[in-house]
Amino acid sequence: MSDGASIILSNVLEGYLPFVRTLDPPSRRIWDLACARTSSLAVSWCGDEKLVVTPQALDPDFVTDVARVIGAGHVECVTPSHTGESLSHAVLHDELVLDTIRSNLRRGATLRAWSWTREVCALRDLLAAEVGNFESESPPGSSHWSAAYLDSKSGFRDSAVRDAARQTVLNPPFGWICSDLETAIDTVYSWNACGLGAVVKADKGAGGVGTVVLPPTTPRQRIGALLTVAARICRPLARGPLVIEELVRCGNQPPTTVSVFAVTNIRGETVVHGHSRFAASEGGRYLGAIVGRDALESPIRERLDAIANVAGRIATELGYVGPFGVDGLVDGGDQVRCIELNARRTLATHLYDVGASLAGPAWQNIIALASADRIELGKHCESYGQLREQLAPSWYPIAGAQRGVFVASMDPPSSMGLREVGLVAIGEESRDASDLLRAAHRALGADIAPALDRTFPSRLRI
Amino acid sequence: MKQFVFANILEYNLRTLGVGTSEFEMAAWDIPGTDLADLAVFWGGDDTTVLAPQDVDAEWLADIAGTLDLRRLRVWASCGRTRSLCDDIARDGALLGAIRGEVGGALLGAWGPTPQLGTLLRELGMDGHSRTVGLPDVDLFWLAWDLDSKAGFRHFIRQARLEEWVAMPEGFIVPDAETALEATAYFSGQNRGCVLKTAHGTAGFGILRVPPVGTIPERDRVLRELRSRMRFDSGWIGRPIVIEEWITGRFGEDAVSVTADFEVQPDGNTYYLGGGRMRMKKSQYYMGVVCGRGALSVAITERTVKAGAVVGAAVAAHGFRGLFDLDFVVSGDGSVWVTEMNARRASPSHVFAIARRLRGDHWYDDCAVLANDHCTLAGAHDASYRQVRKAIERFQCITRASSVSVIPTIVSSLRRSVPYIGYAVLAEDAERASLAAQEFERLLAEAVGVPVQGHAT
Repeated sequence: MSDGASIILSNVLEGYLPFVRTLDPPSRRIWDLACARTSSLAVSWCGDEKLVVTPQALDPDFVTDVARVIGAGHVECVTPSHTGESLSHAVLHDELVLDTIRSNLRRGATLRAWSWTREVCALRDLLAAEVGNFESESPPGSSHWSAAYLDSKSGFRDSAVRDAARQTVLNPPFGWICSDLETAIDTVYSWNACGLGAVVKADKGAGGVGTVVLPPTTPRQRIGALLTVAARICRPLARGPLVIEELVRCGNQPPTTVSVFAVTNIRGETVVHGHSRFAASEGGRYLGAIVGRDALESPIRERLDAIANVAGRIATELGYVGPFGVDGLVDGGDQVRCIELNARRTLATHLYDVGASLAGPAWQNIIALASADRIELGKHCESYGQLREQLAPSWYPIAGAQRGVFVASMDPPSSMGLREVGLVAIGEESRDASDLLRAAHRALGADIAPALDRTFPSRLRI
Repeated sequence: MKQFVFANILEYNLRTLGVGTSEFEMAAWDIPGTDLADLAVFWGGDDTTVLAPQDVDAEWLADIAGTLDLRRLRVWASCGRTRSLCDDIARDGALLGAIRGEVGGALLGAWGPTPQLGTLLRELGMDGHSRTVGLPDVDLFWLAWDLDSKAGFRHFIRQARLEEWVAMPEGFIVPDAETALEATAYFSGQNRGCVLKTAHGTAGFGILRVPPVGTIPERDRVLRELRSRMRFDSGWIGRPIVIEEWITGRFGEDAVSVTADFEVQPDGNTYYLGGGRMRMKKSQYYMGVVCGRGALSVAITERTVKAGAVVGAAVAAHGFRGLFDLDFVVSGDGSVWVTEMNARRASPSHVFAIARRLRGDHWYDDCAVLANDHCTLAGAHDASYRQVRKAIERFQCITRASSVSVIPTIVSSLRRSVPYIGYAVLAEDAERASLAAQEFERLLAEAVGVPVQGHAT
C-alpha cells in the first residue's frame, strides 16, 4: 500500500453498543442485522486503496462492483474468524487479521474506523506499541471519552449551549435534560397545556429509535400512556438521561432534516466533506439522503459550513479528532436548528466519498447522489448476482454517462437470501438521482417501509 | 396565618435514589429523613400544624412554641406505613379528614415538591400557588425537579446565558459514569482535580472528588471507588453525571462552601432569606451552617445575593415560584462559583426562620447563628430531651447577661442507637456563636455523661 492508503475498521455494531445493549433480544437481532448491513458501506469509504475489516465476510462480486464504480485501485477485505459484539476484540484475537493490519500500517496506511470507541482505541494503542507511530484518524491518548460525550444527546446539548457564540450558530431548539421518564412526562404535559409540541429523546438513541415526537395536538390525557408504552418498547427511553426539545416546525409541515459531515485533524482543523438532505419516515427515522448538486440551497450550505466549524472547534477543544456529522432541522425562517452530533461516520458518509471519487473535489457542484439504505426486497433474491440482474437496466454507468445505480450495502450472505439492501443512485442533479432510485425500487419490487420501522413504531395508537 | 407544613424530607430524598434502588440502600436514608422532619416545626408561622412521619417529644414542642412565641404549634403524625408521607396521609382516613376539616383558609408548605405531594394537594383542592407557600404550582413540580438535578441546573444556566452572572466551574454533563470516569482524563491532563456528581445527590452524598494527578494513589483510590459504585449504587446508574473542576481554597486547601436561600414570590420577585458558610464533615458532607454577622465577607454575600437574583428572575420567567437554595464554593482567589441549585426548602431554612422570628427581617446584620444538625452523643444510654434541656438551662444560666441563646432543633434522633441532636446557637457574631456552641457541647456532654462529637469549631 502507498501513502494515502487506508485501513478501515467497520465497527458499526461496536459503535452502537451503548444503545443496542439496552434492547430486548428480538429488537437486538434486527439491530445486529442492520449493523452488519451498514458495515458493508465501508467498501465505499475513503479513497481508492484500502484494507476493509468487516465483522462478516462480504460477497466478492459486491466488493468488486463497488470498487469498479468508485474507481478504486485496490480493495482488500478481511474478516476475523470469530466476531462477537466488538470487531476490535475480534481483531485482537485473530493473529492473521492482526498481521495484515500491522503490515499495512508499516507501509504507511492510515487507520480509520466507523466510530472511535474505547475498544478500538485500545486496539490502536496496542498496534502503536507494536508497530510504532502511524497515521490514524482518531482522538489521541485518553480523549476518546469526548466521542461518547459529544455523541450523546445530552452531551451535545451541554456543549452547544456552553457560550452565546456557539449557541447562536448551532441554534439548538429550546430544551431540557431530564433525569428520568417521570419528569419527562410532566414536562411534556406542561408544554402541551401551553400549546407546544415536544420531542423526547433517549440519550443514547440511534437512527431515530428512542425518539418520540409529540405534536401539540396530542391529547393531554394520552401523553403519559404514550411515553410509558414507548419506553416499554424501546428501553433506552425508560432510563435516563432524556432530552426534551421543543418541536421544530416549518409552517404546518415537518421541517427538512439536513446534515453536514466533517473530519477534525490533530492540528485542530475541520475539513467539511459534504452536506446532505435526509429522507426520513413520518416518525423521523432515517431512510436515506440526497447530496451534491442542488440538494441544498447555497445559504443552507453556508450555514452548515459554519455549524461544522463551530462543532469542530468544540470537538478539538475536548481532544476529539476524527469524523463527525451534525444533524439539523430547517425551520420556517430558514434557520438551521442543530439537534444532534454524531461523533463518528454516518449513514451518509459513503455518499461524500463516492461523489469525490467520481467527480473530484468539486463534486458537490457537478453531480448529485441519492441513497436509500433500508430497502426491503419485495422479490425473493437469493444472491447478490440475482440482485444485480434485476438492477441491470439502471446499473452504473448508464450508457457510459455518470448516471446509474449501484448496491452500496447488503445483508451478509446467508441461506435465507437477501432481505434488505442499500442503494446509491448517481445523477446529473437531485431529481435525476431520485428518479433513478425510484426506478430501482420498482425493479426490485421493494417496499420502502423498513423492518426497523415496524419494530419501533413511529406512531403509537392507544 | 394558619399553615399546614408537610415534612416530606424522606419522600423527597427517596425520589433522588431512582429506579432499582435496593431496600438496603433505601433503609440507609430512613433515619436522617425521618429525624430531620423535626425541623419542620420552624418552617411555619404563628399557627402551624406539622404533618410529620413520626411523633415528636411534647415537651420539646412546647419549649419551641414558647421560645419562638408561637400561638399554636402542633404535630400530626402519619401512620408511617410507607416512606412517602403524603401517600400515608392519603391512606389515613382520620388524618385526612382532620386536615380537610381545618385546611380551609390555611396555607400549605412542604420540604419539596414531589409527585405524591402534588396528588395530595390536588385531592385537597390546594394545588394553586395562591394556596401554597414556598412551592411552585403543582403543574410545574417537574420544573423544580429538573432544576434540582445537577445536570438540569447546569444546562439551564448555560441555555439561559446566565454564566456571566452565575459562574460555574468548568464541567460537562456526561451520559454515564463510565464516560465520567474516562473524562477525568480531561482534568488530570491539565493537572486539575475534578468532582463527579450524580444528578440528584444530596447533603454531600453522590459526590466523588478526584484529586489532581500529583497524588496518584489517592486518585486511583477514588477511581476504584467510582468503578465499584457503578455496580451497585443507583445514583451512579442510568442518570446523567456531572463532572466539573474541583475548586480549591488557598494553598490547595478546601474551598469555603457557601449556601444561600431565596424565595421567588408570587409576583415573580426574588427575596433573599439568608446565607452562610456551610460546616462540612470530611470536606463533603453537610453538618450545619454558620450565618449572619461575621460569617461571610460582604463581597461574598453580595455576589451570592446577585447570583440568586439572576437565577430567581430566570426561573420565574418559566413560571417557577417558591423556595430555592444555591450552593457556592469560594476559591482561594476569592472567586465565587455556583455548584448547584436545590429547588426546594434547604437544610439551613430553619436557621433563617428562627433568626427572623427572634431578631426580625434584618437579623443577618444584628446577629449570627451557628447550626449543628448532627451533634453525636455516641455511647449515651437512654439519652432524653430532659438531659438536653438541663444542658440548655445551665447554658442559659451562664450566659444570662449576654444575648446568646441555644435552641434544640432535632431531638427525635435521641432515640437512635447512636443518638444525636441538632441545635442552633444565636450570638452577636459568628465567632461568639462558635465559642458558645463549644460551651454548650461541653455542658451537653456533662448532662448526658458521654463525650460529644459536635464539630462546633
